[in-house]
Amino acid sequence: MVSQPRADDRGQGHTLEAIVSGFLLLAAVAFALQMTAVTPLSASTSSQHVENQLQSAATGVLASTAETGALSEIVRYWNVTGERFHGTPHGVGYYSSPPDTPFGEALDRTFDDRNVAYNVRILYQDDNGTIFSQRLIWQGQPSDHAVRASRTIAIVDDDHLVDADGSLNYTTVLEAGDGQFYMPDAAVDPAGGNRGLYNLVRVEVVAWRI
Amino acid sequence: MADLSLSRAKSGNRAQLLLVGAFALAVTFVALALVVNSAIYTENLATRGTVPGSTEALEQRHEIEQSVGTVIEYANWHNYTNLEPSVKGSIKNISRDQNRQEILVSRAVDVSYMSLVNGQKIVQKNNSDRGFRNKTDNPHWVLAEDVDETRNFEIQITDLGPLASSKSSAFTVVANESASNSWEMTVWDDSGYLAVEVDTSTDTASCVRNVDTDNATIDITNGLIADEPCAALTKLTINGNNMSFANGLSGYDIEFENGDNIAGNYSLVIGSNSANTNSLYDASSDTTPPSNVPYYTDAIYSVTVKYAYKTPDVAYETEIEVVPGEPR
Repeated sequence: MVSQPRADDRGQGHTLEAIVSGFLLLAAVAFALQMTAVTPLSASTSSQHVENQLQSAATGVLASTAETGALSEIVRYWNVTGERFHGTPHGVGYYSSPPDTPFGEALDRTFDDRNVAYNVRILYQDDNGTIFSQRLIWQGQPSDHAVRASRTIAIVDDDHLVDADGSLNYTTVLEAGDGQFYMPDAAVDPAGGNRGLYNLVRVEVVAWRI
Repeated sequence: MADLSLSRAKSGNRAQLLLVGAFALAVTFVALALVVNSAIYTENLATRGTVPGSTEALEQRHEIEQSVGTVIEYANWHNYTNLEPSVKGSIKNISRDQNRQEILVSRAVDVSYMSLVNGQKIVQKNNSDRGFRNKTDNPHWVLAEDVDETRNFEIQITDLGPLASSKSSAFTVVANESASNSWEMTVWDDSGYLAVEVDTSTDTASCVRNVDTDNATIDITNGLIADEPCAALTKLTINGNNMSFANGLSGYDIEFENGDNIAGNYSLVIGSNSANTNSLYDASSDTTPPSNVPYYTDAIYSVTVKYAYKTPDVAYETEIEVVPGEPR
């Protein structure tokens, strides 16, 4: 007797194996495509490179304004009678756009053309070591990818307050003291009897892309 | 029979080929994804700094240097008798306050006083009629002898009128080590422009400025005229030589010549106790400085502090010599 050719049973086997190999290929392609997801380096406002650049720019602005004295000037740009920074709205006490001082101009040149928003605050301490914060510029809640840069400067007793036009007021920070100036005297009397340092102030800039 | 076995062999081979081919392709895709992923991972790591916290340590060092410099200048201008305790106390305050701020971000910072170099400050201020003559009204005089270090040398011109109109009789600052080795700066009025020329034993450089108001400040050690850089006073290298104040000289005398051809104020700090007592008034024991005669007082020339910075990743310690306004 001639046996049936084996090819009949084999047909279902072929089909099954073709389907299985199809599934295998599909699964491999889907797996490979899932691996190339969005990474921190993808081009977006949250890219790591962008964050590093913002950090360097903010550090640079603070360093250059500290060198020219503009940073020290903005910390003392205080209106004694109104008890707020010059030109800020009454009851609010801080700016929402850069002030008209060399520091504000430096921030404007660095950030405003590049769609970067920033908050600036001033951290100071009292004699007991409690750290207080004073808002200088507030432009909103930072995004998740904001960077922070800060710089510390020394304010000495005979630094004068600064008037709205940039000229020095006759009142020194020591004379203004706790009552009229937002920053108290944080320096303990050394044995010589003359205090030199008034306060050590940290200016912090938080910047993010919008 | 031969045909059957042949066809059976052929069909058997084909089924395995499809499966094996699909398997091979799948493995290739997964391997490719792995390779691309490792490239992304490497590039991501490359955006991080090599040593975490090293730039922070150096930035803080610069901040401490500036803060201590501010405190030194305050002491020099206000405490005529209590310089050292004032600076020491302020450095303690700087260390304490900086540490309080940095602890919030898990860094420990310590600044401690190590030593200082005493010097003298030579000043003339609030003078309009005197020119730059000494206390006995001599226009050619020596300010200090045998000086090795000078810093913060500033001349503030309050009236451009008395300036000479040519270089020959113009006001000159001389740093004189010997007859053949000296540094000279001449200031005169070049048809309405402020002209400054620097002559060393080998080179000459000059710059001319248009000063709008009647005031111009020449910051000699910083190389600025009216807050703009002047190449003649800074590291202008002609034939590879440095033209900053008294560069390469040691044990020099500081002299003024033709002191009546200029009007204004000046101040400088020297690193030794050699101010010329015959030409300058001794204001070391005065509580307020005199205003109609050039004087000298004690001053701090430089302070050395020890700076330590510690985080969980980085420990950095160094000595910082703070010399505010030293020549570049």
